[in-house]
Amino acid sequence: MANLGTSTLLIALLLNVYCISMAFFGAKKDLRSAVLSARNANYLVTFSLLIAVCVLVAAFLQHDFSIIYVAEHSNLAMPRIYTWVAFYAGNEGSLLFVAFALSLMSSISLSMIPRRVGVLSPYTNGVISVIILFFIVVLISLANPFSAQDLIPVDGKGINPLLTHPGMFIHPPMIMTGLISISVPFSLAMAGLISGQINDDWVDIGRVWGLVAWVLLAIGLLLGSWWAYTILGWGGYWAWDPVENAAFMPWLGLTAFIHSIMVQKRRGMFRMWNIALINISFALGAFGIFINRGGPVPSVHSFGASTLGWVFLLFLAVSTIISFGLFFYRMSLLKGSTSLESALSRETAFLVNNLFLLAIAFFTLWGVVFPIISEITTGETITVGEPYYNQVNGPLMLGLICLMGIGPLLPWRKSNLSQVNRILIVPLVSTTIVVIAISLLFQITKPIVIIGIAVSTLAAISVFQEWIRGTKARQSSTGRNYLLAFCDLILANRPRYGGYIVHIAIIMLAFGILGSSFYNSEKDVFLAIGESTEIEDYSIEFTGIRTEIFPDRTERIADLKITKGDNELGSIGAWQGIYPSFSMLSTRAAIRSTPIEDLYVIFSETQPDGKTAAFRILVNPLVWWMWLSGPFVILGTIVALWPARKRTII
Amino acid sequence: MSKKLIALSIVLMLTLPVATTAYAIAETELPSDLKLRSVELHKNIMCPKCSGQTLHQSNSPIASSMREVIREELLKGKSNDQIINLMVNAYGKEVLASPPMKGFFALIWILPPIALILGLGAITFVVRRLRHSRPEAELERLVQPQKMKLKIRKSLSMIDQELGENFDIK
Repeated sequence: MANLGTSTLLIALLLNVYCISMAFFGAKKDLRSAVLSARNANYLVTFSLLIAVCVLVAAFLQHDFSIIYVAEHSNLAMPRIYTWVAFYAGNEGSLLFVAFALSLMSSISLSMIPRRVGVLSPYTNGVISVIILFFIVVLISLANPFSAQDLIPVDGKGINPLLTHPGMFIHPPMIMTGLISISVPFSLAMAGLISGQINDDWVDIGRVWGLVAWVLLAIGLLLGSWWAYTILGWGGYWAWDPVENAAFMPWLGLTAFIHSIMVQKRRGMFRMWNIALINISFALGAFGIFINRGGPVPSVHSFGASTLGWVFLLFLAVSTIISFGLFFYRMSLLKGSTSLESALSRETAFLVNNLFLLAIAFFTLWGVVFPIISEITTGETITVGEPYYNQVNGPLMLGLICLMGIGPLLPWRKSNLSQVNRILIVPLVSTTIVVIAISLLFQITKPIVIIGIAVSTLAAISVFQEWIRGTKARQSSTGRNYLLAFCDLILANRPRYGGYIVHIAIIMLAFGILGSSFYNSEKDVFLAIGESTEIEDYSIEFTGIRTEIFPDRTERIADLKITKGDNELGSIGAWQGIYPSFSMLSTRAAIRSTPIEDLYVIFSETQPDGKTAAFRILVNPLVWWMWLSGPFVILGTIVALWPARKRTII
Repeated sequence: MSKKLIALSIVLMLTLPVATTAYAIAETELPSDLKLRSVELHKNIMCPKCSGQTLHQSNSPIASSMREVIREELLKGKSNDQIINLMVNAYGKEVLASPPMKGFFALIWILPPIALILGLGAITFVVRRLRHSRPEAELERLVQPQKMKLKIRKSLSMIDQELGENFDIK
């Protein structure tokens, strides 16, 4: 098994080296056969890595503890379904997963690149294969998941209990695939810089792959938050942990990119800027991988940690130097072809959007590296945590939502003040009315929350206004009913209306964050069986503990009967598991979720008599909306990505 | 199996002291104004031994004993600053969830607003320049013979490629 795995990696290495040399040779000499051969070699690399992945999965399923990685990350008692999680629970396996995901993405993108981009295609293949090469070399030389041991243990160590959660089936692969997928638009941009063929040819496919990486990261981040919310037991979902930040920063860079690339698509502007943005996103992604693999900062995400930090730091440094070196070398070719006629235009709004997004990314980066700077210069260790990030990034996020309300209403190219007044008057007036109504109704006094509601309402109203206006126009011109006219409208300009759906999702997210950060209440209590406690309008009665013993863990479930006013709302069970082999207590919150608020109960300890238990009880308003935003992000992205109907060419 | 039992009893022993302290907290609830202040303090003070979690988040024994200290100090009538100083003296500056706005550490707070102002300045500059580049000049640049040659060469190479592809199929 071990030999089979290692030899597939070696075959992948050989094929990959062949692929790189053929791609660059074919591109340079304009040899179609070499270019095709390189592309086929890329497909074969993906196939070999797929086999390596299958071998490792098979080793897990057969409990082949002669492979060190399998012995370290699984055991006989583990439910078979968690094999998939164990596969990337450690450094070596997750690196194999990253290499495979990158290779798969590169093959799909290469097969999609239209022929008209000419020489861009082989250069893209060459660049992305160099990145794949890096991962394969690291796998073979420093982190081989197939390393064997002579002394075969009877049972393996098993998997960290925190990872046995449904979210873990999707969260890590999404984040890893998302981070590494930035390589596709990055390689396209690099191909343009290397070949000197710099025009708008790469824009369409670059945008598609930018969006793919973006949506993967978005879903990965949301699922990670959901995981933290249900399992870490403090009712929060985001802690500005270095590794969370490491995935969040490239996502911000990509968000800037997928907005700004639209300006190039529509107006042929920002050519230089878009390449710079994708370079920045890639560098932030590489930084993320470095932080995750034994970076210099402590984190709750130390699952994949290793001593390989320096390798990834090297990767980060070399890729950044090369990409920005090429960028400055080709700068003269990158001038845009059109100009702006007025400072008040959608183009300017896009620039401000980019500034805010990058500012959040860099302030976050600043927070991550500042402890290291402080350690070096003053010798004092300090912490940079939530208070810093909330104060620095919070206002910028509100600013971004405000831009979401104004930007889409501004016309391209130019406008003047009276025009802008005319456009904004309806949204601004209706926003004011809504904000006053909401504040009075719910007795909201905190200024920051009122601002938050105001910008979110403005953003929502501007999207609805666009939808209603467009639907009416279509309805009157085609005579179809409103629903069909609405679908027509969305299908007619997919990037735009897909984007609006995502904007609605972001507003839901903002809603959930505002509600849960400013209006949650919490309580730590000890309850004996039969006792009850009250929080807000809820009354919670502790009715008993069920205990179940499994080979690897003892599960205890505290049953709680919930009543609100006179209504009995049924029972919820707060879960905890004791894992002796990890000497670890893992909890899972009992959550009763409604669109208005979540009742959230963590069962943390039991008294020795077995009849009294400690609970942390929280009421978190509006969190439900945060998780609802996920499906809307996916829907909006699919609409935005859906290829336009082919125009007939005469 | 016996190994597991030993481990299990270790876990239980570890949780016992926590349980008793938590019990004490539950017994005497803080009045609501002190409760708000204690939550704010919990959010600004790190648990020293739980990689990146604040007192508000962590369930570890050390975090609950620190919460207990904060509760007692609040009941004694100490101010937030006094309690924070107490914690810094005991655990060092890294116990603060974010650095103070003093001396070298002020740098972390000052840089972001400066950077933002510079960024806005840069945008104003770029927008101005984009506005002043006149469309006529752009047009001239577009019809430059050099440019045309490049375009024609590109089209030709594309035609070549299409032909080459056709040959391949045969």
